[in-house]
Amino acid sequence: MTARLREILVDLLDLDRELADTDGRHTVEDWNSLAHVRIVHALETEFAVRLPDWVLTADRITVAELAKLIESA
Amino acid sequence: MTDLVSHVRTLVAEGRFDDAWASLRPALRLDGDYRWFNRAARLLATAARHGWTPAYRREARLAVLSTYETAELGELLAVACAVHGLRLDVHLPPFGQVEQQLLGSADELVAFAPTHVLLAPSTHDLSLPELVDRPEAVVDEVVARWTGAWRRVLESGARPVQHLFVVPDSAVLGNLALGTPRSRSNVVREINRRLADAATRRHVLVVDVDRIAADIGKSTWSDHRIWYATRQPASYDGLAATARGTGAVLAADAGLGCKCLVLDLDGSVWGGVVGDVGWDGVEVGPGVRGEAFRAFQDFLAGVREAGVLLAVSSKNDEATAREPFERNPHMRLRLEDFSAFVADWRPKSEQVRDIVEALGISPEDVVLLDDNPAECLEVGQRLPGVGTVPLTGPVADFPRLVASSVLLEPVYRTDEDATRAASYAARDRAEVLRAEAASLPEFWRSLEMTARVRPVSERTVQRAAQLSRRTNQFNLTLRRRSPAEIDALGRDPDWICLTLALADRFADHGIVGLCLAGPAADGELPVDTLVLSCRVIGRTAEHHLLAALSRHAAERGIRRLRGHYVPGPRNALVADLYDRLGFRRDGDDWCLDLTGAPPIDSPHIREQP
Repeated sequence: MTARLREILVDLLDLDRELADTDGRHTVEDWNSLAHVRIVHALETEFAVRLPDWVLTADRITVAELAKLIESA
Repeated sequence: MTDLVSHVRTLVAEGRFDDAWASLRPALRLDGDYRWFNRAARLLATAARHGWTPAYRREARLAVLSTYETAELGELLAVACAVHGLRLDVHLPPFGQVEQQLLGSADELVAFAPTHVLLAPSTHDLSLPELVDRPEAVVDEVVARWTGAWRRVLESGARPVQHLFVVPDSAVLGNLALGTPRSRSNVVREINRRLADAATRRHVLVVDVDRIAADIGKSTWSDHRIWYATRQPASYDGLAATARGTGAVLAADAGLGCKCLVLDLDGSVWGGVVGDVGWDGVEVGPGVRGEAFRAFQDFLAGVREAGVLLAVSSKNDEATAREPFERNPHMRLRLEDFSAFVADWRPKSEQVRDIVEALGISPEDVVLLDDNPAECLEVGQRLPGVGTVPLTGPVADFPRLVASSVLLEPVYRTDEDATRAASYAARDRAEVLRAEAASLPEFWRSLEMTARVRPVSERTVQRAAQLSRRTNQFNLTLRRRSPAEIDALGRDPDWICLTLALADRFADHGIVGLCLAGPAADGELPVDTLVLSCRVIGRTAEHHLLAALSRHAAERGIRRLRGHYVPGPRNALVADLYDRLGFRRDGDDWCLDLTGAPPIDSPHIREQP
C-alpha cells in the first residue's frame, strides 16, 4: 500500500524524485492546500476509504502519517 | 479506466505527447470522468513545457469571475475546450472579486483582453433559509447583480457566459417545497428562469449547471467536505462535468459543435440485419426492442430539427438499405431526413470521408454512431478528427448515450437551423441539374435564384454570428464575430453589415451569406468579413452580395472598397476571389474603385424587393 501511496503522491505532485516517509506538505513546495484536497480525494478513491475530515485541512502531514491513516480507516 | 490513465502517464513520461492525447481525447469526448480530465490537464501542462500543443482549430480567452475557488475548474475548462479543438487561455483573478474586477480598474483583466467572461456563482452565495422572506425581492436582487455584470462584460467587448445556480435540495420541506413559492428551491429555480430568459435577449451564453448536476446526480455533483475545505462547491466529478458542459458551450459558440451525425443502420437505427430479414423484418415500432429503436429514431429526428445534419454510412447494398425507409410504415426517419446516404461494402472510413466531402464540412464536425465498436475503431484510426460513439448497451439507452457523449450544444437556434437539412437535400437536387446542364450559365439560369440582401437586424444577428463562426471554406478573413459584436457593428454608421438570403427553385436556403465592411475612412471601406455557406458556393451569390455592398457604399459617398484575404487551412478556394470580382491588386490587398465601372453582378440572381 505504501508504495502505491508514494506513486500517487509523486504523480499528483508532478515530482521527479522519490518521497521519504518524513516528506509532507512542509517539504514539498507544490503540496498546497488545493493539491492536498486533491490528494486526499485520490487516496480515498484508490483505497476505498474515508479519511477523517481534519485531514483535508491538515497543514502539516507526512507520507508516513497518511499511510497510517489509510491503514486504520 | 485506470489502464488508460496509466497508459497515458507512460506515454507522457516517454515524451510521446501526440500519442498520449490521441489515446485520451476519444475518452474525454465520451465521458466526464475526473481522473481522465485531471490526467489530460497535466498532459497539456507537461507537453506545453516541451513545446507541444494539440492541433487547435480556434482560440478563445476566458476570464473566470467567480464567487468560489476556481483554480481546479480553470484547468479542467482548458481540457474541455481542447477536446473540441478550442485553445482556451484562462485568466483566474482571485475569487469573490466579481464587481471589483468589472467596476474597478482591473488592469490585469483589461490586459488579458478576454473574448469571454465566465460568471460563476454558487448557490452558497445566496445564503437562503428554507423559507425565504420577500422571495420576489430576493430574485430581483440576484438577477440584477448578474445582469449588471453582463452589461459591464458586453461593454468591454467580451461575451458573458453565465453559470446558473444548482437548485438545492430541501431536506426540511421535502415534497412540499415544490408547491411552496417561498421555498429555497423554488426561489433558486425562479432566479435561473429569469436569468435564462434575460440571457436569450442579450447574447449571453448560459450554462445550466443545475442540469449538469442533475445529470450526474446532485449527490455526486456536490461535496460539502470539499466546499468547507477549499471553497469549491462541486466534487471533483462535479467540477469535471461542469467544465465539460461549459467547454461544449464555448466550443459551440466558436463554431465547433457537431454538425453531422453519421448513422450506421443494422443494430443502430433498427434491430436485425436488413439484408437477412428484409425491410419488413427489421425491428422497429412494435415489440420491446422495436419501440426502443423507434424512440431512438424520434430522438434523431429531434436532433435534425435542431439543425444537425443526419447521414447514413452502412455496409449494405444501397437498394436494400433504402427499403425500410421507403416501405416500412413504422420507421420514424425517412430518406429525405438524410443529407447524405452511403451504403456499399467499402470500409466505413471511406464512406465517412465521402460524406464529409459531399457535405463540405470538416471531419471534426462529424460524429459516427455505430453499434459495432470495431467500425468505430477503424474510423477513429483512419479519420482521427471524426468523433465516434459505439452504441453499446440497451437500445433504450441510446438517446441518453448519444446526448451525453456528443454534447449537442446549439448555443442559439436560428430559422436556418430548422431548414438546414432540407437545404442540403435541395443542393443535391441542384447538383443533378448541374450535371445535366450544358454550361454553368445554363445551370445558374435554370436554378431561378432570388436573393434578399438586407442590413443585419435584431432578427438576423444570431444567424449572422453563426455564419461568421462556422464558415471555414468561403471565408476571406477568418474573423469570428459574436452576435454582440455584429449587433454593435450594425448600429455603427461607419459600417455596412449585410446578410444575403438565397432561394432557388428547389428550396429557400435562408440566410447563407454575410458581409461586414468598415470602418469607413477617407472614402474607403475595408471588407472585414465576407462569408458564404458551403451550401451555395459556386452559384455567383458572392457577386450579388458584393454588388449590393458596392451600391450601399456608393450611396454613402464611399469611393473605394478594400478587400483582404487571410489564408487558412480550408479557405484556399477564395484566394483569388477579389481578382474574379474585378478588384485590382494593391500591395497585400485588393481594391475596387466605385467611381468607375459598376462592380460585377450576377445576372442569374434576381433581388427580391
